Amino acid sequence: MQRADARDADPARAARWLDEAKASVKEHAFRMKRAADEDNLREALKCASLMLGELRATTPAPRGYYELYIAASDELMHLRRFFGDKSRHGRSCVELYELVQHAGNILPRLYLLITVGATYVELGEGSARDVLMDLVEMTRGVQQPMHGLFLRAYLSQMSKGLLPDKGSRYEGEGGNIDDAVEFLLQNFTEMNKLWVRMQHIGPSNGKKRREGEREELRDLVGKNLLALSQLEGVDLQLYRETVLPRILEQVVNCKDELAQPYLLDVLIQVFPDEYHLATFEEVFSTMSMLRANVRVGSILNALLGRLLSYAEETPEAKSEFEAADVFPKSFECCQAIIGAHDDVPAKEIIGMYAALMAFARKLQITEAGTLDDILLALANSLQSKLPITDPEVAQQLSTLLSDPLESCELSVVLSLKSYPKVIALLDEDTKKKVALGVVQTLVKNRSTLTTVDHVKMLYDFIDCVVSADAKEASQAMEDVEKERSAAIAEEQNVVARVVHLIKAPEDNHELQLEMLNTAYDILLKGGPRRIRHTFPALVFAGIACGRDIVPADANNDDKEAISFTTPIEVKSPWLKKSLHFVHKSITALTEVAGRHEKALKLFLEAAQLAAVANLESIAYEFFERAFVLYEENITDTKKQVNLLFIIIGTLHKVNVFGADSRESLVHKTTGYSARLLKKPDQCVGAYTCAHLFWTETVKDSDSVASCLKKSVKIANAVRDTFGGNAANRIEALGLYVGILNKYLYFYDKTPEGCTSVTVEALQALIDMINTELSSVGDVRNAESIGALRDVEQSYANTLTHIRQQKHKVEDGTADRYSTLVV
Amino acid sequence: MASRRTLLKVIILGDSGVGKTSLMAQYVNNKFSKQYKATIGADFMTKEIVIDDTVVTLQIWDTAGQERFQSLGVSFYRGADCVMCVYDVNSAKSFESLENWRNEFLVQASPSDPEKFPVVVVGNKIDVEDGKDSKRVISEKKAKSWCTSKGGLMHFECSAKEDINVDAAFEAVARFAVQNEDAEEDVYLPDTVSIDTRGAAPSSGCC
Repeated sequence: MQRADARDADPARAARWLDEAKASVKEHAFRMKRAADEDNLREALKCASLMLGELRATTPAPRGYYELYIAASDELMHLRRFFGDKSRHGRSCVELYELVQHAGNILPRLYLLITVGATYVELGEGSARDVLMDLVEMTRGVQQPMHGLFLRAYLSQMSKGLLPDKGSRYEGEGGNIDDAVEFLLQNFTEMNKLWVRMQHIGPSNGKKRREGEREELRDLVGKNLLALSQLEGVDLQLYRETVLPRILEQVVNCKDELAQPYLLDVLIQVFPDEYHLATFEEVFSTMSMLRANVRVGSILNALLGRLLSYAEETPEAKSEFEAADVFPKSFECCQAIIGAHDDVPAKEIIGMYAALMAFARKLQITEAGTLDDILLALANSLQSKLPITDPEVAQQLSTLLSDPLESCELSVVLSLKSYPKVIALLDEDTKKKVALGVVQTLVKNRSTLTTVDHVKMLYDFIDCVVSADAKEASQAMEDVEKERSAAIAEEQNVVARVVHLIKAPEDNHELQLEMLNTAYDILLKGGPRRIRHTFPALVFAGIACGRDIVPADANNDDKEAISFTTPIEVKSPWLKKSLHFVHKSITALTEVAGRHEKALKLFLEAAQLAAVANLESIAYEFFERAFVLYEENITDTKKQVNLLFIIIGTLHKVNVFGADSRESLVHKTTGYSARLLKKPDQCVGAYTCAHLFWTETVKDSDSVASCLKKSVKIANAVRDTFGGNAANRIEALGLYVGILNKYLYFYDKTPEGCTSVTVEALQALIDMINTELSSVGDVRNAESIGALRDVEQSYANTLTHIRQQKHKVEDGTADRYSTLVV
Repeated sequence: MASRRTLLKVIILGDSGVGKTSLMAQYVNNKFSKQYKATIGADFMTKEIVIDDTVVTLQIWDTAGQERFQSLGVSFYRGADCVMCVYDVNSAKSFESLENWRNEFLVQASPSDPEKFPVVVVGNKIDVEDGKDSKRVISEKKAKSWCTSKGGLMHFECSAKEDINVDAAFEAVARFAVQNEDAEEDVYLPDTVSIDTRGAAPSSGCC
């Protein structure tokens, strides 16, 4: 039976080959160990040689070969122990050394030689230097790359701990650190050559596969650098004078695109940070000597990363870095690399500058100049990579841009002229994301904008989400709306938050208004789709500014104490200006952006502020504007009802108007109520309007009573609609109970003079409800049954309340209720 | 006088920078360096100790925590007698990775009884908490309860730097490995009748 081929296209057969080869290793190893147990040196060597013969296979892929190598080298450990016990085989190391050279085949012979050699050195019979140098010379005999690489890896592994390193027991007669270094450097150089040469062996169509295999084998070469870094004797001087130059020389001279970046990566990872700090310039200059396709950016990033971690862990790093000019030189190197290679990917470029920024921060070089320089260089370097569409890169850029926001004063960041330039590199969507990220960072950090310039600069930073773009202008409004109304709402809500960052120091209301006006001018350019989301924030900021002035002026810190009953005379001119600002902002909100309902509510809000400060005509104007909006723009019935209640509530609260003004406003309001589309709404409107005649200062009991009576009439009409069917009767009942509650409310105001609401009227209403309830009749419809139950429940609650009132003797309530029959 | 000799294979696993190399260097050479040096590929060091009556040669495999330095894969996991999973008590991430390391090991090494395969969990760098910038994030209690939840893994807290508990941890590893050795021993049983099923065996004669 033929053994399977290791490089069979069929992985199952390749695996079978490996299993068979491993089984063979195991078989020979078994015999080898048995022979060793019997102290039979010759037999043990013969078996070991047969076992190692399996490593002569030329066909397996690296991982398969590695597995076989591991299996065989594990077994050699047993042989080494046997070699080490002279009492068992009675040979000196020299004799052993001679003996194994008789193995017929070079590969098994060299594995055995190395194994004996290790014992030779370990037992002190031979000088480490001589034996190791002899071995490293002899291994040249194997030129098949994979065989050679593993053989030398075995040599490197075996020699570990046997090198004449500084402080090692092999130092002295066995040589010194220079020999140890020389041995490892030679092994490294030879391995690298084998590894590089590997690509040229075999048919040209297998190049890609060979590249893959070389990738797998790379750690065997890299390990030599680790071994060098592990030598005690390799101090900074030796590293700088011998080790590094020899490694770099090999890196440059091998001219291999795989080896160059890999070896530099390993070099950067296995040697200590402080060595890198002392030698970074050498590595920098090597980078410009690499093959054109090598990704130098990632190498530089790795090195900067090590320097950075050193800076982070070492307290004295700042002065060391300054002394070594790390920052300017790194900066220079970045620019040189980017300048020399057109194809440095954006990701690497950003990575380098991000490292520079991190340096700058760590070393506390945060002057605007430096940051500006970095960002400007970044912007220039990325110029040829436009547009940036890779989301990962965009994210990287956005993270980089948020860095100064986190680490510097906002004023420093805002003075960075390069900042908007970097943002401008991104495509529209990413640009927006970054801009919004800036705002979110500022909000998160509770940063404040304290000068008009800051406001302007910040909006300049985030211009892409503030201004309307050309594309938009040409599009029909409806199309745009449909396309992305939800997205823009989300975006502009973030933009709107900038307004809340505006905060003039020391209650400087003049400045506050100036900044708000600046924001107004800028946000106005955003067009209707943005204004509808951003302007409510402006209005609130204006109102907040006004609210801030009122108590400050009244010398009263307790803002809660602002009273509608006794308006305060405010002397500050900035209140009126605030109100003016609010007025103009709400006007834009309705006129430009068409947000009438919101504008109406805001007018009422503003009216309250004016009222508190006793600014009658302004408050009146705000009400007027709200009314105009109500009349002209609110057509939806439900909204009308809702807004009417808000109007009534506000008008009830404020106490600033003279009789005529007030009467005119109330008249309009009751008119709106009467003109509501649905009768039940009119009914509720009518009894709610009753409140307008009974406030802190207005006590018009007749009008209250007339409102209530009017509401009863409307309820009657509801009851009688369509000949008074069950549904209408139940609806009317609900209204009656509502009216009854309002009656009770005003009846309780009798002691304050609300005498027109009488117990007789109350009694009449109660009687009527009772009659109605008894005559509703048989209700079948499930909906009506539910509605009736609700009405009955609410009526029962009201009656319970009345009964309780009958027991309140102390303030005369019981007296008033005594005649009421329920 | 020891009556038996045995060779045991131990693998140290864990995230990059937790101190795998340092633990090994402290145990084998009594040396410590605070400099960070990445490990490339896998390498072993040996140390002989006596456990009860047995001379044990521990073959301790130190591994690269960074995947990019593990280009040849992890076939060296095979035949391991015990595994030491290391985390840094000051790094939550390294602790969370333990699960992955253990699972990856059990999948790749495919021991005969994965549930019972000896795993020793080591929390390194406990010296840091004594320092002025205490930053420990994984309490001993938390680690122990995780070990219990994984079927009672042995747990040690060590400092490779201060040489705290390092010997104890490795000794536990060795004892564990001795107990497990027989289970993992892939004993070669020669056929009674030797039939060479292979075509051309290398005929390299010896001596």
